[in-house]
Amino acid sequence: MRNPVWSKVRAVFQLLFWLTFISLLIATREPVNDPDMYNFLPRLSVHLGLTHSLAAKHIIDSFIPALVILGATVFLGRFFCGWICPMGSTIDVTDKMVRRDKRNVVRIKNKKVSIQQYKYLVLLASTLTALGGLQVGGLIDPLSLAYRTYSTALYPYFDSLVKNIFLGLYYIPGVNLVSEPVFSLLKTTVLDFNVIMFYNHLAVFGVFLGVIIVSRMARRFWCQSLCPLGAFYGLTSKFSIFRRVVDTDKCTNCLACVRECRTNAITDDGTGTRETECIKCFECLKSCDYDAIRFSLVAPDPLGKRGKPGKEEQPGPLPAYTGVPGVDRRGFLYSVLASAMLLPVFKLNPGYKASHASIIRPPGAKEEKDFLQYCVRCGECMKVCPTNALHPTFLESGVDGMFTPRLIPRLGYCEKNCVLCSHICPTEALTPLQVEDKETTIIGTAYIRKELCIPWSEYRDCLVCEEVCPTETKAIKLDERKVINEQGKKVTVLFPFVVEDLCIGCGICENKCPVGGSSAIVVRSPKISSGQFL
Amino acid sequence: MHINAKSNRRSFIKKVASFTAMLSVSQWVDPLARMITRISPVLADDPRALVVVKGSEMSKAGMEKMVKRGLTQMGGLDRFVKRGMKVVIKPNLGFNSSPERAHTTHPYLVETVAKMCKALGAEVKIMDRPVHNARLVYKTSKMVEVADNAGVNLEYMDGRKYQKVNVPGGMNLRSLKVYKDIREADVIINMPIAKHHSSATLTMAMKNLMGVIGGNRGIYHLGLHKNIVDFTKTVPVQLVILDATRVLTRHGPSSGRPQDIKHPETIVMGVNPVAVDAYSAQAFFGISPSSIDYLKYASREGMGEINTRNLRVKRISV
Repeated sequence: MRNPVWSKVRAVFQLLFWLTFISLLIATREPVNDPDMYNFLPRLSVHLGLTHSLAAKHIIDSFIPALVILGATVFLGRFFCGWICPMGSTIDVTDKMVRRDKRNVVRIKNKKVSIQQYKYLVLLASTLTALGGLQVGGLIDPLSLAYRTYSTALYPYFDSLVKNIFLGLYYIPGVNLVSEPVFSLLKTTVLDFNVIMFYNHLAVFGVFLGVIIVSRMARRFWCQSLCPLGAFYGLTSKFSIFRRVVDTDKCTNCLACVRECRTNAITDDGTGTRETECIKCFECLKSCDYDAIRFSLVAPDPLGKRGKPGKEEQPGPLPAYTGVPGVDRRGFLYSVLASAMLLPVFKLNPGYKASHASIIRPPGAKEEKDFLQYCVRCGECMKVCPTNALHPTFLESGVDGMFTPRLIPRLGYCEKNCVLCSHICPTEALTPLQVEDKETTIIGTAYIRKELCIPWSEYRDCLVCEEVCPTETKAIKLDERKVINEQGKKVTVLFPFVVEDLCIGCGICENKCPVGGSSAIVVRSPKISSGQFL
Repeated sequence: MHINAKSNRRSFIKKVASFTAMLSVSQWVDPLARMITRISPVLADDPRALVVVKGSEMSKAGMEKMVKRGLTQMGGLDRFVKRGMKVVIKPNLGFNSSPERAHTTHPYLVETVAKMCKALGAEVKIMDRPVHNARLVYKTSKMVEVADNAGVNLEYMDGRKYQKVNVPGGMNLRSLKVYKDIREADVIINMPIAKHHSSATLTMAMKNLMGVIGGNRGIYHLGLHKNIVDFTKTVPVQLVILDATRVLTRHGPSSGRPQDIKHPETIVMGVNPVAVDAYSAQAFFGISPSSIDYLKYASREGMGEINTRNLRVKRISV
């Protein structure tokens, strides 16, 4: 008898977890009363916790929820991948489009190619580079990847699509009587209040697309073969006591379950299970016509001493029960070599030289070098920013700074009464600030480009920058001078200039400057950092 | 009545005279009654007339009393607002600052006016187009609470609803984009706060109207003073209630330290924004109205009186 109940239960939970993830993501905006709840997702990744602690040389306690998942994995196996992981849930859906024939094995010339060992090498490389002070983990961790992509690419796409539809309906008489109330309801719930747009969203989306497209080779290819978090949980799953057990008397070796298994966790004869791969999705229960499969509590068997693994088609060696499955000495060496190569490629970053650093980090950010080691590229700060001022970098801050937050004042300024990003940050890349601290938190320094500035170049009053400057005594001061304008008339003009000691670099002047295109007042990285002088 | 009584010329003239007198007196009965109860009923019709209310306590009840007493002096809010009318209250909500920083109109004043309009059966909306993010501004300036307490709408201004309007006799501008709800409103109550402003010298009632104008507002800072006059020409305001309970005297309109804030604890009411601005500049900042360009231009264009000596000011204390 087929038993679809448990796979349905899983699907419902998967949907619920995904909806929770999406709701938390949408709600990660002003007002945020409990940042620890909104930034929960990245903190579930034990891989992020590890690479982050290693790269920053600092044990970070915000990843304690990850340890809880890790503890549960010891008993339940890789249930996280099948039930909770938003990336996994996304891949389950997209696999229906990119891998319609449900193939779960990579075959070249009709020979099975083992792929499942590579994820351990990815994990190894990620750990080794972290030891070398490089935070690659954040780029490839599924939770970081999922949050980053959903917040800076997919959600804005959705937001923009819906808004454009309603903007169009607004101009149709009659229809707008219905559409407008619906629109205002949506705007206060699932849509963003403002227009949201992220610089480099295509780069972020590209990585995500890559993760989905690799499933062309086999279902859940990313989870089977590349995911470092999956690798981590795979290793601990070897002690799992909740396992798939096949009743060999009932089993007819029809191999329905082998074909149905999303992660290719079932050995070729259908009786054995690779615990490191099984994500407890219960699809096999649904596929079995003979009631031969059950999941039950079994004494753990990490070294595979008890029972024989199922038969394997050649050449798939997959020594599934000894050491790290599938990883041989050669693979190990390659991984170490790759890490050794990645380190200099990534770390030779001109941005480390303070005089060359050209990008503005969010308030409370650590010094550039430390910041890159602490930041896990989750995108929480970018999502929460009420002015849409924080954007992911691509290569602007070096390869190792990829997808870190950057303030682009022309697109959004740093609101002086706001400290949300520093509180939402799941790591300590951003030190939590109080609103009063903002008066002294220097993130940049403004300078005036006199060739563009209206008073300086046209001898006409403007003063928008001075008007909006939020520092208590105004960092932009005015110099009243009599000049002769182009009509030959003697006029009194107020010329703005920046007092660097007072400027905090919030960028509202650059944002509001009425000069078209590039602003006539620009924020560059700070000359001094906050707290440097008395 | 004596049937035989002679009707001679004298009695006829007497009758006519007394009848005329009665008629003319009866015409004054209502205004006289108003004058007795409200002291000065014609203030609301005189563009040079102002009511200045000095408060004693800056509590919610205190401010409510200030507004109510002031409006009674103006002839009652019901002179402006009638049942079923669309009323827009336009406070100054330019920046994301809490009320004590004196950047935004005090929420207690706005709440009182909103409640009074609502009680008169009007459809009330509060709106402004802030420089900062509207959602943050409405929350920090306590306008969300005001709208909730008064049961009126708080409009988050929508980019699609700005309509092109010609500026009648514009000094600097041919056309402007004005918010739809402003154009459709029966009554616009302008509720500015008086504060220092770097490029406009002071921002009060006239400058406050920039908050209903669409487009790139940065560009309106070129030739700002003339533009302010054009805003005032384009947006007809029925009633001005200026908040000078606390005024920012330096580093306006968006910064300033606590010591830059003065506390005149006063509100100024009038029907003419030019007169209100002229009085407020002199009274709270000691700045001669004629030294402010936009007031000078407005006076030259015949839009209102800026010589404070010619203003009819009714001062009351609460």
